[in-house]
Amino acid sequence: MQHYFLKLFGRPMRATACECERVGEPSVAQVLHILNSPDIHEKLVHEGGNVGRWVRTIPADDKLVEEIYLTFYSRLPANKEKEVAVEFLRRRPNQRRQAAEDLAWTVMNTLEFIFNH
Amino acid sequence: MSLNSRYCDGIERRDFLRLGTAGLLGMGMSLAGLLEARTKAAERGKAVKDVSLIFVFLHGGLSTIDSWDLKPDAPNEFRGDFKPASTKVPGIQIADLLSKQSQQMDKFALIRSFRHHNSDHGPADHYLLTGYFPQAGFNPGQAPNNHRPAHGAIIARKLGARNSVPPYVCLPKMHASAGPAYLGASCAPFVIDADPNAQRFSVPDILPPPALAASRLDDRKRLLASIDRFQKSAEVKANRGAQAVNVFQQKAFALMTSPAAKKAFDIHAEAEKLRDEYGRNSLGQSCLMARRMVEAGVRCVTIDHINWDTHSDNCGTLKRDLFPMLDPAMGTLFRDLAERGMLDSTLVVVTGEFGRTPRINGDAGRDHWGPCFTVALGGGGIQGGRVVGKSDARAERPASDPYGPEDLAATMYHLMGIDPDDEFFTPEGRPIKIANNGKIVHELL
Repeated sequence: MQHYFLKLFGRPMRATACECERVGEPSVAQVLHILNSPDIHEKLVHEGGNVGRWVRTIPADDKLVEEIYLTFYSRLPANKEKEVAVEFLRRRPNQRRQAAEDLAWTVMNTLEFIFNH
Repeated sequence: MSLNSRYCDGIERRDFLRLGTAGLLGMGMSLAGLLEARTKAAERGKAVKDVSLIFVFLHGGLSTIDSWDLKPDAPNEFRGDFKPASTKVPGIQIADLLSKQSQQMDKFALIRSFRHHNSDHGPADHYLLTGYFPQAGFNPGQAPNNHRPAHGAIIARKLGARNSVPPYVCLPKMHASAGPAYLGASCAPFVIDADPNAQRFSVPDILPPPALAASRLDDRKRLLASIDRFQKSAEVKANRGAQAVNVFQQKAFALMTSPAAKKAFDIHAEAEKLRDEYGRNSLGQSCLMARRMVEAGVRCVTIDHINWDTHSDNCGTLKRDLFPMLDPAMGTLFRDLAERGMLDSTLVVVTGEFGRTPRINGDAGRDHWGPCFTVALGGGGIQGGRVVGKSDARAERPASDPYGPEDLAATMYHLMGIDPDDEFFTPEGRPIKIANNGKIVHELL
């Protein structure tokens, strides 16, 4: 499968059975990809995607933030984190969908996500 | 704001903290270290100027007995189809088909007595790209597979970045042995994973999606800075991989907002005529991109071009496909650099991982041959129009002055103002010479 994302993130060539073929080393290109990739952007803004669905079905800002954290980090946000994220959503009440996309994008670009997930 | 913690000399201070005491023992670039290096170089009577490197790697192994070191008097089974022809420099002859670079012969030199002990893809590549033959347990299938840092990584470490462009770039893809090894993330190359000859060439992911307003990007960056503050847990701080991601994110943002980088990456700004002269193929356009990037301040550009591994129909393939790419690319690059006054400050090296067998095989091809081949190099202080060393009657072995990949490394570093006898310390505290005890090829200077 000629998938750019997989190749970029170290899919092993599978020329041998060796574990060592999997590349553990990150790169600027990987980081740029998560920052700017049109594919990822598409997935975030897609009507049928998760972010769109959450915005439609979760009216409470703090619950929306929890959903995002659970999905990306497999954990709930700490109190301080929840404060910052909720504040971010509240500052743009007429563009809640966009704000949620921005939050999801931001979470994807944190160290915790890039490195652990 | 945490996203912009650079000092004016472009050094990421966090790198030193991450590396601990090993960073203080001779690894890494400090202002004091740079001044010391420059003083030492000046004491040796060498003018200190910024020299950049364009390393053109002819992946698979160029047949140098058919290009730069012809043996017209050798028997039929060795000779090949091409005839030597005079160049701009009296006394130097190269293949008649290489007419463009022939006119630029005064700008580059040939080492005809180059040799090493290995004729396998993989280890030989590593040897040429790092100056070190890999150790036991080397896995060529890994990417990167470096046991020792590639030249570009060493240059990035010793000289640092300039003008907010990456110090070390690979294109049109990264060779598996072009990695930083123990020097780590901050010396890894920026890889342009795209063919600069493609009609709609652009460096992937360097710009945000067009649908995104600039103000939204700013909002996101601010949010990222405030959320990331919460991620600075002790485990994350202690983890080298995680810190590497941090480093890369800094670099990524810098790259996205650097006007110099944007300009350098925009090959479409180049005149069509010049693009034609370099050759509309990935080798020609990569050489042109390399020139642009050097202009923008990149210290080392490594071009990995395939495929030179002519096991069958060697001369046919050279004549039809490979020389028509190599000749305009090299010829135009040297001419272009000279015309722009960049030749003195740009070192160009052209070589494969080995040469090819002087005895032609049953498929009219040539197989791998490490024991004797020719390396071409010019600019950056090299005296052009010279031949160093010679090979024997059939180009099977050097007849004089043998030189190897460690000597090439030593020479390149020397020309760039880096002391080839310098050492790095690995994270375990082991000293490793950067140029593997190579000797400077003085006949080139």
